[in-house]
Amino acid sequence: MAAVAPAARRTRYQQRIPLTYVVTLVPVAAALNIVGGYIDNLLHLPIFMDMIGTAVVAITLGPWWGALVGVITNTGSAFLSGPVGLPFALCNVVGALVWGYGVRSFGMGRTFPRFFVLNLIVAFMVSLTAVPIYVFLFGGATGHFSDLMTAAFLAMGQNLFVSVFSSNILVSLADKLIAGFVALAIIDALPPALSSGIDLIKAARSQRYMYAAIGVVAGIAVVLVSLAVTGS
Amino acid sequence: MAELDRTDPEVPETTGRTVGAKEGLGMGVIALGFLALILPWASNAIVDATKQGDVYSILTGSVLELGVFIIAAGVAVIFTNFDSE
Repeated sequence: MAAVAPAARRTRYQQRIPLTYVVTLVPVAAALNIVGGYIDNLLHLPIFMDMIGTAVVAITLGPWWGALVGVITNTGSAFLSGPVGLPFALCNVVGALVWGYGVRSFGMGRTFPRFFVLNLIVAFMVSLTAVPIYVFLFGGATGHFSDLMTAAFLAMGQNLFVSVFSSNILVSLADKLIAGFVALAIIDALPPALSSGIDLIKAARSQRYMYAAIGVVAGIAVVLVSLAVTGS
Repeated sequence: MAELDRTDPEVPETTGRTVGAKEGLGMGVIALGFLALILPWASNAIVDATKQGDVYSILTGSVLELGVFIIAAGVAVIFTNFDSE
């Protein structure tokens, strides 16, 4: 039994996960992202809603599994609603890497404030990746609701790069706060074996759901404030 | 030495095939490669759909940004500890 003990002591990042979990979770997460993005397109919401599954997989399975979900999501969406979303697969990959490494390597999921900050970092990094794509590939507009905010910032006299970044970071902040905390609630509902070794907020289940609700409400508050500021 | 407790949620069921960080990284790199493969089609489709820009610049921009992620994947391969797998 000597070989058993080190395996039980392994950290989550080193732990091996049954293939069945991966084969089940990755397509479901990608489908969740695609449906979220489709609903967003349909209702013209001021968020993206296409990274909840990415966050779930990046945190539970690992950052590069999350990156795989991100690529599947945007490729699948490209076949459903046109190729415009395809270059933004890289944003999904960035989100997966920051969520995955943030929680699993840097302990950013340990407490509520840490996880909150991690979501803000994800939003910032995703915006940094998205803005060059918006500006250089699409001239600053893709038909998303955030284009209205970009137009408002342009009307205030900002240049295109600053306007796109300003509108994108506002939308991204709200989106990643909501995605991160919804993912937290989903992870709580997954089999314990998937989340047992992860350094996530240690609290009673009801308290963790309360944290998730607070995060989502904070995201919605950011949406409302940004809409009020830009008058969109 | 204690036996591996199959009922303990801290220890995932290890019967059957398992995957770890190595396979995760491999799948991430495959995903990036797949993205690179469909970029020429995507660039053409984006120009057709949006009626702006040209295929060459869209492809160049996409490849430049994708390159950063491939480098990141390489760095991850170097620094990830696979010894325990």
